[in-house]
Amino acid sequence: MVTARGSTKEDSHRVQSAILYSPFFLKHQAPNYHPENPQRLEAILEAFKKSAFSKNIETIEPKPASKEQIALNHSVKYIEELESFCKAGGGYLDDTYANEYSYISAALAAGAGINTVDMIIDNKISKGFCLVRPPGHHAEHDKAMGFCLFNNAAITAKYALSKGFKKILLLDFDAHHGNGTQNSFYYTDQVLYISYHQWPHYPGTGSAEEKGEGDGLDYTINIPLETGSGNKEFLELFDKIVQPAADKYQPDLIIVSGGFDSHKDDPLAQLNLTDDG
Amino acid sequence: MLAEKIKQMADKYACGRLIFFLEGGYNLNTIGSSFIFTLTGLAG
Ligand SMILES: [Zn+2]
Repeated sequence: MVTARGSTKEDSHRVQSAILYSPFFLKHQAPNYHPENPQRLEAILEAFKKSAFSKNIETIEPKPASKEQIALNHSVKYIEELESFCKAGGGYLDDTYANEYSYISAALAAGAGINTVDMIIDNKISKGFCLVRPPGHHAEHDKAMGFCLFNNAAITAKYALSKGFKKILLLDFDAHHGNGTQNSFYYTDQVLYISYHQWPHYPGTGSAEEKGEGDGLDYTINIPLETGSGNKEFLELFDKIVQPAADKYQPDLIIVSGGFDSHKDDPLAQLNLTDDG
Repeated sequence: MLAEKIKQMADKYACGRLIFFLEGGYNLNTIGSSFIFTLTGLAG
C-alpha cells in the first residue's frame, strides 16, 4: 500500500518510530537501594544501542509537560505540592520517593507522551517509545503511589482526546494493576482500559468485576492472572478478550503501559512471560 | 507473541499509531532484552 508520502505502508511504519528519552530520567532516584532505579533504564538503553534498531530509530529528547497539561489528569494542589516537595529536597510520599530532580523527571516523562501525540498529529512518526522514569500507572489524581508520580499514560490519553482523538485503547501488561489509569477513565467510553495483571497482588484493585460505571460501563476490562501465568495465558486471553474488544471498539490510537515485571524472572511479581511471548 | 498482536491491532484500526510507556520491570538482567523483543514486535 502506498501512502500520500510516497513510501510503502510497511516502510513508513518502520522508519516512523522514535524513542523518547531524557538524561533527567536517571536523576530521579532514592537515597538507598530501591528496585525502581536508574540502572533499569540504563540496561534498556544499553540493549537498544547494541541492537540493529539504533541505526534507524531516532532518539528524541522530550520537552516537559506544562502544569496545565499535567492537570489534565491531576489536581493542581497535588502538582504544586509535589513541585515544592522536590524543590525542598524531596523524601518519601507514602511508598513513593521523590528527590530534587523528581518533579522535572516526572514532567518530562509525561511530556514524552505529549510530544509523541504532537509528532503523530504532524505525521512525523506513527509510533513513540517513551523510555521514562518515574513510571506512571499507579499515580492517582491527587497522589503519588507505587513508585509513580504523574500518570504518564493517562495524561497522554487525555491530551490526545483534547487534540481530537476519539477512541483510545490503553493496554496495560505490567504485572501490577494500573489503579491510577483505571480510575482516570472509569466513567468514560473515550478510553478503553484493558489490564493484564497478577491478582490478587499489589495494589489490590483489578478484579474482573471492576468494569467501569455510567458511560464507562464495559470500557474497563480487567484480566486478573493467577501466579505462574505465562505466554500461553497471555496469548489465549488476547484472542479471547483483547482482540474482540478491540474489534468492537475500533480505536484510533493505542497506548501501551509496558511493564516488564510480567517477565518470569522479575523479583516483584510471579508471572511467567518470556521474551518470545 | 503479544507485541506482534498489539502491532497488528494498531495497523488494523489506528494507522499504526501507538505510544509505548515503560512502567515497571525490575530484573536488570532481563529488562533490556524484554524491551528489544517488545520493540521488535511493535515496530519491527
Ligand atoms: Zn508493575
